[in-house]
Amino acid sequence: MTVLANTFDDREQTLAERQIELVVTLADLCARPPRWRGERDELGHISCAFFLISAANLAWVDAAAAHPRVRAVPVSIEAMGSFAAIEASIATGRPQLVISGSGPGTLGHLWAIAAARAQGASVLVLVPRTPPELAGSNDIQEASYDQPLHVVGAHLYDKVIALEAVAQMPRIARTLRQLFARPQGAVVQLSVPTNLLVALCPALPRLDAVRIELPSPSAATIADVAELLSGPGKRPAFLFGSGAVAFRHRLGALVERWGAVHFSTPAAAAIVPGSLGVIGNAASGDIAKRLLELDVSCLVVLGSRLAIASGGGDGALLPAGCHVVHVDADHNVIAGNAVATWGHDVTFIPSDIGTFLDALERVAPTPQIQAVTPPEKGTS
Amino acid sequence: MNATVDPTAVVAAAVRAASRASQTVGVFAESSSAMFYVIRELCRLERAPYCRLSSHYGSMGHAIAGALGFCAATGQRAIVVTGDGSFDLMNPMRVAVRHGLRLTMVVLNDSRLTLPFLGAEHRGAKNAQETTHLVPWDFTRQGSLQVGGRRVFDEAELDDAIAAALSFDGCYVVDAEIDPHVEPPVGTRITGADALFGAPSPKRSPMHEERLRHGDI
Repeated sequence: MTVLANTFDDREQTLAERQIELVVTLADLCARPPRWRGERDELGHISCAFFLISAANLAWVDAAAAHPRVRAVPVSIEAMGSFAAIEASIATGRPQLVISGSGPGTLGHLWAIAAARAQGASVLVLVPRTPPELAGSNDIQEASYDQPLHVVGAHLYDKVIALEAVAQMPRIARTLRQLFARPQGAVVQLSVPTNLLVALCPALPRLDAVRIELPSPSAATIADVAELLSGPGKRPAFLFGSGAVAFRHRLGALVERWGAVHFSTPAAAAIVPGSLGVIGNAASGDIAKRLLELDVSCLVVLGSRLAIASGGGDGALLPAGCHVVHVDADHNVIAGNAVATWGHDVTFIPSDIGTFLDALERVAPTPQIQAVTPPEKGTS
Repeated sequence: MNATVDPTAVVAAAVRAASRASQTVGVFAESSSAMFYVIRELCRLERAPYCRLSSHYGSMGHAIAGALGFCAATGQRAIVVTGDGSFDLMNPMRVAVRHGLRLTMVVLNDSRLTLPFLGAEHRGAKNAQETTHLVPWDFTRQGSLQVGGRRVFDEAELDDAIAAALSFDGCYVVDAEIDPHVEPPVGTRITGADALFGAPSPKRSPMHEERLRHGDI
């Protein structure tokens, strides 16, 4: 893996330049499994910087446009840049960059920031801030004492970091390295006083020296899951949510190995052939009836919050006694929150889907039920 | 009055074309009735193409702007299935053209905000429903020769229009004039909203019954 943190260390760089370089480094180090498995041109391995240019963000835009591994993409409204960054991140697995304007420009992203977090995207939003000595001067687009616009909506981000001095940057770089290593992604705002953007910044510490392991389910937990999946005389089922899409190439073998049936939420519709159908909005296939007919006794949910629109609001979805194993990278997904799981035993496993699949495949007992002919396809 | 096409056929043509080119085309659906049509078409395929919906908040504009990000990051083509209301919200064509992105917009054009139209009808909110009508619009007129476009009034033209879009080296708009009498496959989306009001709405509002009597549905 190429790590470019020190590419230009033979000359002095401004803080803005260091930060743009840092984004490329983070994208290389923290890339997650891409959901887009189709062709990519050479652009598919660079990072995008989406922005609406303004005086306050000129230093960042200038640095991004000059960087050989950054595609600078001016957009026409702030939220367009943030939505674009979400999908660039989801498709490629690489953290993406949004360069905000100051003042009201910071508000224009909020509409998309909430979606970014919900979608599991990795996005860094760089926000230019009024320098401390100008705060309260009532200048245009100023973040004043009374209305510090850049902190509005701070709770929508996973983390909001305010840089006050260039000397903070090494620690901030480490923090970003840790945040973007999360399998559920991270949406982070880093605000910087505009006067510091053009200040010189020493080289940042090597981030590739930091190794971050993903949380992994214990062997005992995996053994329990394997036992549930191979329970005698009963057929297990898998429910695929959007978090499973990046692993779609592995799911067919998974289903076959356990002799399972499968269905999905709308966001993962038809990612594996032979689906029973879709639950939630635009449901098809009468899943509840089929699960009952098939006497499904164990459901493994991969990468779904099971929200109402995803079918989690259906209290009659699962047969009585069906054990639910809920696997999700986001530990904030509350096990058993969905009405569909009420009254059922639930095992929640906070894990990246790929890590869980690896662990399950290591156990891989011979299924007691042989793979079956794909069930009839649900109709709508 | 112009002829119209069944929106189901429009979406089927777009999704199946993307499916055939699944290594080079991503599909995006706006959080409108377009999304429900797309999900239904995906379920009819044995293996779906790459498809993205704004599945949590259903933020308006997510798919359109998101497709732009997908194109920028992968260098590949995206098809966005959108309603006419969503297109207005976030028109990405100038940005896409500027960056040489291959963005294909498939507009389900019925000159109204379909989900609010149906939701207002379900609740019997006639005055609110009146606000959901839009000015008829030709979305192929994007003001640049670098944006290809074709209006579709006949189902027989669909495959050609989609093929033209996917072979066009740039942005393209397929503006399909859809039959407003075809109800989208919204599942429980309309009735599910009753929970917002703490009380169920009549299964069918008087307005809905009236439309049924007049054969409008």
